[in-house]
Amino acid sequence: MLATAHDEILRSTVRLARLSFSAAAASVFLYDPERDALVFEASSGVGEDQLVGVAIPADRGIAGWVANTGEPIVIRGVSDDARFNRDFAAGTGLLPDIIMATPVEHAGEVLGVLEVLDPQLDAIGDMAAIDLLTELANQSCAALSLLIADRRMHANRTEVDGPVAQLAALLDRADPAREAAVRDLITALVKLVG
Amino acid sequence: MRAFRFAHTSLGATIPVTAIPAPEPIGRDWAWGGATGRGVRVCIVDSGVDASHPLVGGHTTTYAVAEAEAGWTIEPDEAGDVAGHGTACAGIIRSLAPDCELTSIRVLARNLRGNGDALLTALEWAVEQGFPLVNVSLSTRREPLKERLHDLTDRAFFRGVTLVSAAHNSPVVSYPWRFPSVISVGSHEVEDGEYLESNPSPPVDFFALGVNVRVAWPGGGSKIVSGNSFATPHVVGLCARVLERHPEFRTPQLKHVLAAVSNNQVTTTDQAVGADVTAAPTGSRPC
Repeated sequence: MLATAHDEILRSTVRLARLSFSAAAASVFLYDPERDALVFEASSGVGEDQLVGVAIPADRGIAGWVANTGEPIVIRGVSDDARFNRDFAAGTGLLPDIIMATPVEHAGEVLGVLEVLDPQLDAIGDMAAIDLLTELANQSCAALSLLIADRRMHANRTEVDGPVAQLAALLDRADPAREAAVRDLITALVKLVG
Repeated sequence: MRAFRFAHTSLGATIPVTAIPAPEPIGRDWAWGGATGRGVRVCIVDSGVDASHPLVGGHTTTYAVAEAEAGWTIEPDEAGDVAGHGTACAGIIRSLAPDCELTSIRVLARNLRGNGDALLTALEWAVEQGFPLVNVSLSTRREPLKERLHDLTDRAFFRGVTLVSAAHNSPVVSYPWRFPSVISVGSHEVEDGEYLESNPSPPVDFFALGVNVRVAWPGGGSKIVSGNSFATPHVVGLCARVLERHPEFRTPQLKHVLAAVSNNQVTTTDQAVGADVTAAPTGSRPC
């Protein structure tokens, strides 16, 4: 269920990003520290989900720059960049002219990159658009971080030999006559990890 | 209506000439008249540079930060620009100081956890090499690196290495641009690469052209980009001109000269006819 929620957040994020800017497509990459790569997690629009699962080096391209620096960016005139189009069009069939990208960040740590391809920017201007996209990324990241925290808590509770299960078993076996000691233990735990 | 809204951009505030300690006006002719940056060594810490681009060309040397078992090192690099950003900055510097000597250090790291170390390694090397000017169109938000970066920028300041550093495009705290030992740069949208604003409300020191800038891009073409990243090399280019004329100048002198030749100065008379300096309490969008 948690994996589904994770995917739902990402799918909703890219769909909202695409619709917000009447864009041809939007996509999100998340950083995979085991592969040192940005992994294409979800997309909306032209070529939807054709590249899901594809990994690109985290030190290459616009996405790599945004991931390394945490800086949002808008670049116009990409359609004449043969190197970019050859790689990207091979996967999606889309030849974008404008790329807008912003980091997906939590507590100063870049977790990935949200990109919008061919956004309609004339009505609001490039940087107002960046403001909006950055907030979309922030909202998505906040939801993802809550999900990750919830997943960690859930794992702690369900793990048979985990600390939560061990503590519950201990308290279940506790002699009712030692209730005061149990309360002292809980107070001490709250102080220690609360 | 303002068409751009990223952080650390000009609000059009003016600065009174009485805030600049100069008994006589300092003109651009005196500051850099006719200079092209000849002989001035400029280091670009960025994504690499496409040295074959016609708008970059000239005297350009390229290095990259590499991660080895013993730690991070600086190695000669032939990979060029892996993202485009560094070539854009190099082209802007060349447009203002065509005869300066460019050295690029590529700092993009595949391991994102290590990119702060890559930045520090590059900056330490640039300081050791004694480049009089370093273009730093990036920053880090990692608090654990703050102290090391602070010490490093102080060392640069004392050594005569001027770090020209871009303010973040988002309203966040990042480094090194917030340290007073560097020249920090935000954006204005006046379509003039030599138009410079002095900010009466730091931490951003100056605003330069950073909106809808046509820049060189790897492969020989160009793109249109916006961001404080691209305002910064405009200031570097102007500093390179100043250093050709006044090679003994260091960071404080460069800041002073840039403020003295800035385009948003007003005299007491100007204020009396409507330029209300006191009504412009902030010179940039807040961080």
